[in-house]
Amino acid sequence: MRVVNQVVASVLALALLVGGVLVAVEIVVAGLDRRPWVLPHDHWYRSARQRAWESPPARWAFIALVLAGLLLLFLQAARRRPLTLALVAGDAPADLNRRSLERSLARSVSGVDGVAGSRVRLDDGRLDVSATTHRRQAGDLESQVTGAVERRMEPLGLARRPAVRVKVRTRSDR
Amino acid sequence: MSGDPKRAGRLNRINITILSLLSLLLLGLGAYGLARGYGAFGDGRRTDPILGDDVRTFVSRNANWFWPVAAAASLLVAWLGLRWLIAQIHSPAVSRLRVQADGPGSTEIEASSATDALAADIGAYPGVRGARARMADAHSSPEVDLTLDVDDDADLVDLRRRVDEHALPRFRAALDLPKLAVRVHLRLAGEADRSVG
Repeated sequence: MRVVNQVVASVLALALLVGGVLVAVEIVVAGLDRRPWVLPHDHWYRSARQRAWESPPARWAFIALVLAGLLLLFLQAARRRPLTLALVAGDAPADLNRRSLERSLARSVSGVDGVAGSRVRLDDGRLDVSATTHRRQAGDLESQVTGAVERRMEPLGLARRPAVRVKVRTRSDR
Repeated sequence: MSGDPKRAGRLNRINITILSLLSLLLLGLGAYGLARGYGAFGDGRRTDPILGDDVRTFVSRNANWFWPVAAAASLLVAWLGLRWLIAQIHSPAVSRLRVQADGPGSTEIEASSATDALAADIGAYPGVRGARARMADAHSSPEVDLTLDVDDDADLVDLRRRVDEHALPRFRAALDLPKLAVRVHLRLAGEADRSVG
């Protein structure tokens, strides 16, 4: 979501830059009694003088503005997971890349005997681990996975250890 | 996205703030236009032209200052757009570093040569697959961003102790900058992961 936001921000920033310069230039050009340079503002002026607020083209333009505003607002309201997790204080402040930790934990979980696949997601101080097994019964796999995750996190020195929630899906669950 | 999480987080907050304001502006304009077009401000006003006589009269009466101010405002918007655009791509790095000198004058060194030495020093530690250091400009004072790719099974606590007690004191002493701030960003690397070094 951050990347999408950065792309949108770059496009809008460029639009503001180009639009601002063009408007300023058009004002100067119009002050010299010349025809519009790039922006057809004479056409826009006539259109705005002739069309009423209730006219269909105006309504569609306002609907487009509302939709664009809602889309942009939705993008900003979307929750973003942290990029990093703080590590315990030291001489130099340190953090751990969240995605690399998720992958590392997934590798640890996959190393547990009986686990066929795993997915780890860290969000809002909680670690969700989902593991799949070819077994019909999970048995003590859930506690083994929890143990593997806890053991993996132990030497990392996380400032705040996330709460671990493990879910094991067996063949009979699928 | 930037490799420096602190900078990425700050840029993200700036983008969220500006885009939220822009979205509210768009929503407000669109909602006002729709409300007026559907007669929320009176039936008579929905048939008014979008550019009304009152606006035209105001502009023509004040044309001597209105257009210069409009042009200046447009240039201000363009400048803000430029700043915003630069923020997306520009990373404030320090290229030269001034160090203490005994005699008159001053001595400057290439920041990258100092940070490369630090990265090479730490990159040789066991468990470190790759190291990259860059000197960033943090509120007009230099700050080192150190990014380390480490083995999946590396002891991070021990590694950080070595960095704190061995590499950083040597680095600061070499530059004669005892208070130089350093931030460490760690990434756990699996067998197939690419390293930064």
